[in-house]
Amino acid sequence: MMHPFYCNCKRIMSFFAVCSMLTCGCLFRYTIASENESEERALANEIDRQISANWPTHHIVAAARSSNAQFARRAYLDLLGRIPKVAEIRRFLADPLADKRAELVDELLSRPASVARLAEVLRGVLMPRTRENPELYHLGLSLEDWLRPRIQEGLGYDKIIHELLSVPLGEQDPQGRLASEVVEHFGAIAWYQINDVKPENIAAAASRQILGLKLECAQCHDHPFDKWSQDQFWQTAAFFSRLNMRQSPTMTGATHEGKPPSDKPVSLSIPKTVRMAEATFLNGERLSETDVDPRVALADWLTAKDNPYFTQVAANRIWEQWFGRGLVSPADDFRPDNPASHPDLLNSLAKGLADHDFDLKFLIRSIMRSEAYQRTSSVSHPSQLDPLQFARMQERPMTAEQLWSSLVTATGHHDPLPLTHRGLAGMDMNSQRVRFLTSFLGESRPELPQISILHSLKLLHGDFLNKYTDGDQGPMVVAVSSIPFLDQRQKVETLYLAALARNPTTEESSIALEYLQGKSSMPSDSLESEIATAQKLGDILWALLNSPEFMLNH
Amino acid sequence: MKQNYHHALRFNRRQWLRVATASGAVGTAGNSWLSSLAADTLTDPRRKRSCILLWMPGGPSQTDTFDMKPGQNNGGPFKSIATSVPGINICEHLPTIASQMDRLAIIRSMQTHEADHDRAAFYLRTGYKPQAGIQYPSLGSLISHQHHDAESAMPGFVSVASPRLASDSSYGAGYLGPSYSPMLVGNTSNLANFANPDRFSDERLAMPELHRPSSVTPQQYIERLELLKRLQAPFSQQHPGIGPSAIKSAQERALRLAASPLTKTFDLTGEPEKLREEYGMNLFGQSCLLARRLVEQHVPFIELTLGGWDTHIDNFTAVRQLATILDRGWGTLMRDLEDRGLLESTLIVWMGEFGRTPTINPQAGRDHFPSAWTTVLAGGGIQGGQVYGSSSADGTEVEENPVSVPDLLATVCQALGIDSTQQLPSNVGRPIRIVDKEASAIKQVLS
Repeated sequence: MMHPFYCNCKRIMSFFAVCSMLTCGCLFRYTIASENESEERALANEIDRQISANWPTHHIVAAARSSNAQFARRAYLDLLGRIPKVAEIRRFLADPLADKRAELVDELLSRPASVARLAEVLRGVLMPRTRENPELYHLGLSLEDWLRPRIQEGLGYDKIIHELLSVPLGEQDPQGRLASEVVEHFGAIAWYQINDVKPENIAAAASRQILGLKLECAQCHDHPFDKWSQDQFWQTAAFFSRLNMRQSPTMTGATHEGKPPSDKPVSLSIPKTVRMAEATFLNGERLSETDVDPRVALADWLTAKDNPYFTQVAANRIWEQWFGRGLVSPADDFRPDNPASHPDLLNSLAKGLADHDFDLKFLIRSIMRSEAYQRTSSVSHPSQLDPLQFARMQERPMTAEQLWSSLVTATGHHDPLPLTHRGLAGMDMNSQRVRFLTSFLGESRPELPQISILHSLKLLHGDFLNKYTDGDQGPMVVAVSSIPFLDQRQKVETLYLAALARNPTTEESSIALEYLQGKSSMPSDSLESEIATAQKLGDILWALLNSPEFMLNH
Repeated sequence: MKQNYHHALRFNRRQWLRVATASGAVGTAGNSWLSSLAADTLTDPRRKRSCILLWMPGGPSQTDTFDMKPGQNNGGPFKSIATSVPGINICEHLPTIASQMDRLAIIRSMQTHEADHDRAAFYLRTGYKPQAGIQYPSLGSLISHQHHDAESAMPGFVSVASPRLASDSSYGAGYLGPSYSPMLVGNTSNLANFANPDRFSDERLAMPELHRPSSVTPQQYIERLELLKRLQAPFSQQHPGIGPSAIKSAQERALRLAASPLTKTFDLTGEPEKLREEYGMNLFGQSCLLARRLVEQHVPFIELTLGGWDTHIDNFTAVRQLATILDRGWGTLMRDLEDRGLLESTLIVWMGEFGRTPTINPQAGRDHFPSAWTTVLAGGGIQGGQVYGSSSADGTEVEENPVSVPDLLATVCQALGIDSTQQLPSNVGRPIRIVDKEASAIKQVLS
């Protein structure tokens, strides 16, 4: 927590920083600054140049820059997966530092919660079904467990994917227990399990999620829209031909990998044909060495720096998460007749990522420095409604996890840390968090939110929101209503900061105050009046949390 | 496949606009078309028929239910019994259904080629095979899109106890947009739901959030909703995109439903105990009872699920158990609808994603089999008491009248009075028909 003394310290430090800059030309920073600042700025400038290049021809009028409050809320949601707390937003708004936005990004990226958030983002990319299907959610948690330490130690995205594809799956003992080295990779195995440990499913998943190619359309016949043939699909699947799913109807069926026969080529038979598909890379090169683990060979090829699909897809995924729409959209469908909206930009982003050893944070920081990312989402000109022009920041739905974490933050509810660290076994099905999350999962492609009646009812009528905005029980409400030195206007302000990370407008203040004062006939200092006021404050918080402004990342 | 793509390219902008305006898809979001349809439905009772889909995930074995092979090596231990229609025999574990055979048309010649759960379920549920980028809507969304009365507080598509396991994307509204998503009752938030189809308690189908929370007074409830409306206005004005309006529209629909006395529809506790027991005190049986109540409220599409049919192991124990549950629920549903004069305006569709092998595997199970399997249509719009198509004596292939998925769905549409060749604007810039144009409805089963 930032201490006021520290804030003053910051001002003194800034003064010295400016002085030292004038004297020795170096910029002094005291938070964990990025080493690549100038390259991030360069890439940010490139983003803005490319985005605005077409605007004159399309008569696009860009939206204004977001306010500091809007930026902070967006940054917290994107980097930590929750809205800022009242103290955090107050501090940011009060900070006079000119470059405070970039500094906020640095600060948030140095917090442990940012690792968890990035793991969640990658899990959503690698296991899209866990965003829709509660039955599979625990597999997603396992994968996040595995991703977190790797993100924490700064492993590049290419190395993470390489490890995922080549993770040893080992053999089982007769009792069906997994070998000890396998336990260590338990989380990565979840990715195989969610694909039923079938070569064709894994090949389809790897192609879609990592290469952005919907190869599976070619599973039964040549691809209808693209150049892939059925043979190529199965040649890719052949790399996974040595995996076996033990005959077990449940998802937690064990995995088994056979020992490679010494002289036979790695191959798979194509169903309903008499053809065998030998493991061949998508560029036509056959897998030549038979003593190399075919999965390792595929992983090497797939994550190579000069593999254009890999780098572009990775860059596009991050862009999609941060902007709500990929430069190629849908992001798992790179095809000739689905070109990027800004091909040169995609190349620049891909190159930047590759040049920095696939450090996703480099790309994230660069994006967040750009004007494109920092634009407001408020529409001031109809030309801003075209999502392909990125002339404003489009509203994005929150993920179920972001929604929960934000509700918890805004209501002051104490959410015990989820037991995710024991992987598969550690998810407490009865915890409020898990129950909320599993009931809020649904189709949530960033550009097409499906909001169901039931989700609405859960928030409008549900127990959680009701209890935690109650005048007696909601921690935030109780705290705000009992602070003696805040008048009613300031109490309303605090609720707005808590729920929407901004101050209310004059009009909003009046509406809220009118609601608070109401048609009460009780003397204002009576106990009943206090209780009634507390409840009304709770109502205000309830209304704010049910508003689209709260539920969206904008 | 390639032909469809080139055809789409030839379908130029002018033609698209003409089709789109005719279907009301351009302009006022189909309001004019929908209201004229609504006007038609008032005079033509056939067009307002409800559809109940009995969805059987896993793939039920036809050889042990509706296409018995007595005397064959792999015919299995179940006996074949006579039904109310001479010449048609079905499994002994479906006696209630057997006594109502005059209401059923059994299609024994399904031939569909997809043996993978995900792909097959997608195919049966949307009428199309999964294809890159196209968000095909499920049958329920398509039918509610055609038939739903926008003025009604009740949802157009209710899905009861759906597991949403295989092929999740075929359970939604796809390119039709969020207002045609199913309303899910009694399902995924209660994960124990389909693990034990036999044990039932009212809370499994309950929807506690339909009602104002008891700790909130009616006065407070109204006041804070009013506050919500006032406070969110400025944001909506400055954010005219899809996201904010989807949230608002869902909230409005939710509140309209919650405020309506029709929410009592979801409460089964008022039904006579005896009737509830006839349906079967299990999740599927009570879902059937709920379906009858939803039909009474003119809900256009109701989906019920009875899962567990993927019997690779120990097929006969599982099928016997499931068939018993199915028989009581479905049989009582048809009788109950008939008693209330509602059967004529209810189409019932019974299907899984494929059938099972005629041969029995070493684990006493049967495996996936899309080459010759069975679906059943019943109720309004259907000429009951017949079998359409046949499989060979050993059940390994279709002998007469093969039926594809589009054929089946075109038949369903026709029974509901829906033009299945109609084109709807999709998410990939070209219009897509409700059912693939290669389909031909089975005239013989339609009344």
